[in-house]
Formats: sequence, C-alpha cells, structure tokens
Amino acid sequence: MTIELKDVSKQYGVGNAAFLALRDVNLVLNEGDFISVIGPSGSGKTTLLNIMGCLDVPTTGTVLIDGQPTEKLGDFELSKIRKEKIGFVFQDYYLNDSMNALQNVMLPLEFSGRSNKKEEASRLLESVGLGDKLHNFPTELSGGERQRVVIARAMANKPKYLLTDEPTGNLDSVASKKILDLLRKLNSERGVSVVIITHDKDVASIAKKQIKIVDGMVV
Amino acid sequence: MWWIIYAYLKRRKIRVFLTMLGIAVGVATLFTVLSISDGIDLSINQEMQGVEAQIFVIPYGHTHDRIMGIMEGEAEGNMPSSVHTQVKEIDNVKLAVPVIMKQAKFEDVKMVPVVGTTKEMGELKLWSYTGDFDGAVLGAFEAMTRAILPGDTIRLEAQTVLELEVIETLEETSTHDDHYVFIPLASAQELFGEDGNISAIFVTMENPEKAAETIAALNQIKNVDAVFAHDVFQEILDMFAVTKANIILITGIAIVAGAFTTINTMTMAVYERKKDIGLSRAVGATQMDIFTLFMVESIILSIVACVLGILIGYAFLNLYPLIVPISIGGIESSPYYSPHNVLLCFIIAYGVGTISGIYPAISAARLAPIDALRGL
Ligand SMILES: Nc1ncnc2c1ncn2[C@@H]1O[C@H](COP(=O)(O)OP(=O)(O)OP(=O)(O)O)[C@@H](O)[C@H]1O
Ligand SMILES: [Mg+2]
Repeated sequence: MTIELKDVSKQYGVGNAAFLALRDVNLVLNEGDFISVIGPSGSGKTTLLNIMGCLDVPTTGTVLIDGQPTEKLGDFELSKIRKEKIGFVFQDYYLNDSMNALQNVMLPLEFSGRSNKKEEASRLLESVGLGDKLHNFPTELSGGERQRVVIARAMANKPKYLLTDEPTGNLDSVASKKILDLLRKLNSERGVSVVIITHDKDVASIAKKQIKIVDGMVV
Repeated sequence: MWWIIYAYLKRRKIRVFLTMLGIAVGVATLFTVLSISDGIDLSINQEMQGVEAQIFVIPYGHTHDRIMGIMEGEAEGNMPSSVHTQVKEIDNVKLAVPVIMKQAKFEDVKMVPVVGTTKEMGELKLWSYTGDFDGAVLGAFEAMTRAILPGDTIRLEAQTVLELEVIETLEETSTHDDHYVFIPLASAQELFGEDGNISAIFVTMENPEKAAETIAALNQIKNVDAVFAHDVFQEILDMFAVTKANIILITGIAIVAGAFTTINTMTMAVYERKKDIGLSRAVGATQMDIFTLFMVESIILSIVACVLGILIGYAFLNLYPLIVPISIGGIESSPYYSPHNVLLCFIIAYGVGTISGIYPAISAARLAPIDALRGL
C-alpha cells in the first residue's frame, strides 16, 4: 500500500510566465511511513503534497496510488481516492466557516454516504480532545483547536495516508506538541502513513524519514 | 445533504430572505391574478347557469351594450310592448317574458335594479309562487339584509313613487337575481315613466334543435335583434380570456425578474464559497455532489419563496378586497382559491429554481479542486 511518484514535474503557467515548481521528483510513501518534508519557502512542498493527494495533477510523470496509475482517472475515481484513502491537513488550517466543529467533521462522512455522521463526528472530536467544543464555529476556536478539528476531519473516513502541510506552523510549542503527539499516535497505533511538511528542524526530526526539497528537486 | 444547505442558508439570513422576496413577489402576483381570474370565470359560468332564457330579444343595434345592460340591471326601455305579442306568435316559442329593467330607489336608502315583468317570469325562473303576480318578488340578498318577509310592503321611487306588497322572497342563487326586485310590468312602466315600453324579451323554445329557424323568424320582426344567450356569455368569456392571457404574461416578467435575483445570489455564493468547495472536494466530494448541493439550494430557495408568495397573495386578496375591483361585464366575483393554481405556482417555482441554479451549479462543479482551495 503505497503512494508512488515517478519522474513527477509540475509547471505553473505557460510561456514567459512558466515556472517549474517540481522537477523529476521520485518518491515512495510506504505503509506506516512517517516522512517529513523540509525546504525553503517556495521550494515546491505544498505542490508536492497536492499532487500526492490527487488534488492536483503533475505536468509530466506518474502518480500511483496503491499501484494504480492516476493520470487516466476521471473525476469520480479521483474523488473516491481522496475520500477513502487520503486525509489532508492544509497549511492554513482551512475550515468551513459556515459550519461548527461537528459539522466540519461530518462533511467527509456526508460525501461517503455514512448514516451515523453525528455520533461518528463527535467521537472523532472527542479523540482529539475537543469533546466540549462540538458546537463552536471556527471563529470561536483557537488556532490549535482549529488544527485539531482539521485533523479529526482528515481522519473521518479512516484514510491510510495523512498528508499534512505545516500543521504546527502558526502554533506555540504546547499546541504544537499536542498536534505532533496526535500525528505520532495515528502513525504508531493505527498504522496511518503520515507526511508532514515543516520549516522546523525539531518537528522534522520526529519523523522516521526526512526529505529535503530545494527548487523543486528532492535532494 | 440538507444540513449542509441549511448551514449556509442560516448563516446569511438577510440575503436569503431578500432573494426569496424577489421570487415571492412574482409568485404572489401570479397567484393573485390566477385566483381573481378564476373567480371571474366561475362567476360568468354561474351566471350562465342562472340564465334560463335561451334567446334574448332586444332592440336592434348595440347588441353587446344592451346585453351588458341587462346583466347589470339597467337597460333602456325603447322597445314597444307590442313586440311581445309578435314574439309569442312565432313558431317554437315556448315562453316569451317581457322585461323592463332600471334602477329605482329602494326603501329610501339605496338604488336597486328593478325588473318589471309578467307572470311568465315565474315559469322561466321556476318560482314556487304560483298565485297572481300582483306584488313584488324580492331577491334573496335584499330580503335577507333587510329581513323583509312576504306580506310586508316595500317602497320604490323613480319617476313616481310606488308602494307594493311583497308576495314572495327568493332563495339565494348566487346570480344577479339575488339583488333584483321583480314587479309587474305595468307597475314598472308607471314607476319609470315608460308607458308601453320594454327593454327586452327573454325567450325559451319548445325544441332547442330548431333554434336557428326560431332566431331567423324572430329577426324578421322589425327593429329587433334576437341573440343566443350562450353566444353572449361565450363572448364575455372569450374577451376575458384575452385579458387574462395578457395579465399572466406580464406577471411572468415579475417572475423572470425574481429568477435573476436567484441566479445572482447563487453565482455570488459560488464565488464566496470557493474555499469551501475546494475543501469539500479535498475530502471526497465529486463534481456531481457539488452540482447537486448548489442546485438543491437554488430549488429550495424558490420553493420556500413560493410558499411565501402564496401567503402574501392570499393575504393581499383577503386584506384588500375593496381595492381589487373584481367585476367584468357587470358580473361581480370574489377570488377563487384553487389547488390547481397552488400547484401551478409550485411547478413554476421549481422550474425557476432549476433554471436559476443550473449555471451557478455547473460553474461550481467545474472548479478544479486545487483552484477552488486557492480561491482562484
Ligand atoms: N497556482 C500557481 N501558479 C503559479 N505559480 C505557483 C502556483 N502555485 C505555486 N506556485 C509557485 O510554485 C512554487 C512552489 O510553491 P509551493 O506552494 O509548492 O511552495 P512551498 O514549498 O509550499 O512554500 P511555503 O513553504 O512558503 O509554503 C512557488 O514559487 C510558487 O510561487
Ligand atoms: Mg506551502
């Protein structure tokens, strides 16, 4: 069970405005992996994560999810992969502002057609220590709490791969530790493969494997 | 899915309300117009049922105005009574009822239509009273509102003053008859100073299949026009149908305007929710899921607006019966609330919701997940 990138390049824009954000990246995320990705700002980390999670497509090269090439898949199949196999934690802890914490976590459950969404979502929020903030809207939560809601949402459909983009970027050390403990626990207890993008060397060091990106190339 | 839509609607109540108001006003207008026109249709039909005469014999010329006059209970008495004798002698004529109808002051209070006629009117209208026609026969409305009973005396005033004994009060018919006072022809001619004159003759036939011949024969009489009662009503109905079609067309414009409000709101919603759309796509929503969400939201907006519109229309029709002049061809009516019209409003609202939702829903579904997340 792997996510595999083969000679993946990503070009943004065309002509004079063209910019190569990833150059011939080869990478494998194995079952149970915990990989950290570090690199300077603008080096292509987020781009890499989006491509790994089938949110974006490479300009050239192939992405294989559990051995299946994705370039020929249609919207339905790609959505299915994102729904069933992948959990995202974005750089700016994106939440839906029109929904409270509980509803945000219910969202992925809704799209996979589950019936006991409410119970499941509150259980997930309890597991990240937010059992008492179920009905808070994002604006009524702290940054760290929001990030935990995001993680609960990412884990709602029990994905095998958890792709996190600077999950501790804007948090203090206490809140950061909570998030990292959570990720470690998911990795060790549930066997979830985790990718964590970070600027922070200390955060990177908790990973089993480290990758460095410079100018769109893995070095 | 409903809870997602509800979450969005709840978060922007004012805008949702204003958007719905657009469609609601259109639906309210449509519902009002339909209810009024159905009411009018119904009244004309009722009036048709209530007319026992198969043929109207009237003075030559201005046929339409004269018939309208008869409907309104105010027709000039410029046909000599002698025509009555001629009509009676024509083949296939069963009943020939002469009438003179004009307004007179009733009990010193108000003007009412007074019909001067003969005993045959009782046969035509199937009155239960069979005695001599030597007093007043009162329509149900005047009898009831004034609590007048047979044996009472009423006072009528026009050119002269007349005191008459009431010999009969009629059952309610929901036609003009309810408002009429029937008196003997000679008394009416005296009351209106129209000696020897009548306004019209109501005719029924022995054999309705020979109607064409009968009409032809009646038209042989000098200075006389004979017309089928049903033709006259059909004419009124046709006239009204054209008016109705035009009004409904204009109402359609109001609904189209409402539809644009919805398209606008939904298109704005797509822009505002790009990030949310991206998030939903990231957690597994398909293009179809996104399309459905926006589509259903648009339809819900329209349907709820439709409910609101029908309520507004209903309130309007009830609260302002006086400023809605509902009368055509002298036939008064009140709005008729038909389930058909309610259903029609809902079907139109559903259509408006669907059409308004299509473009926003497609553009939302077409957003590439990654662009949506970036808010591009
Ligand atoms: N949609 C886009 N169009 C054009 N250029 C883009 C686009 N997205 C990213 N880029 C460029 O691609 C490069 C890589 O971007 P990316 O977001 O992957 O960087 P990053 O490593 O995540 O940076 P950071 O650490 O600041 O988040 C950047 O130089 C950025 O300007
Ligand atoms: Mg980034």
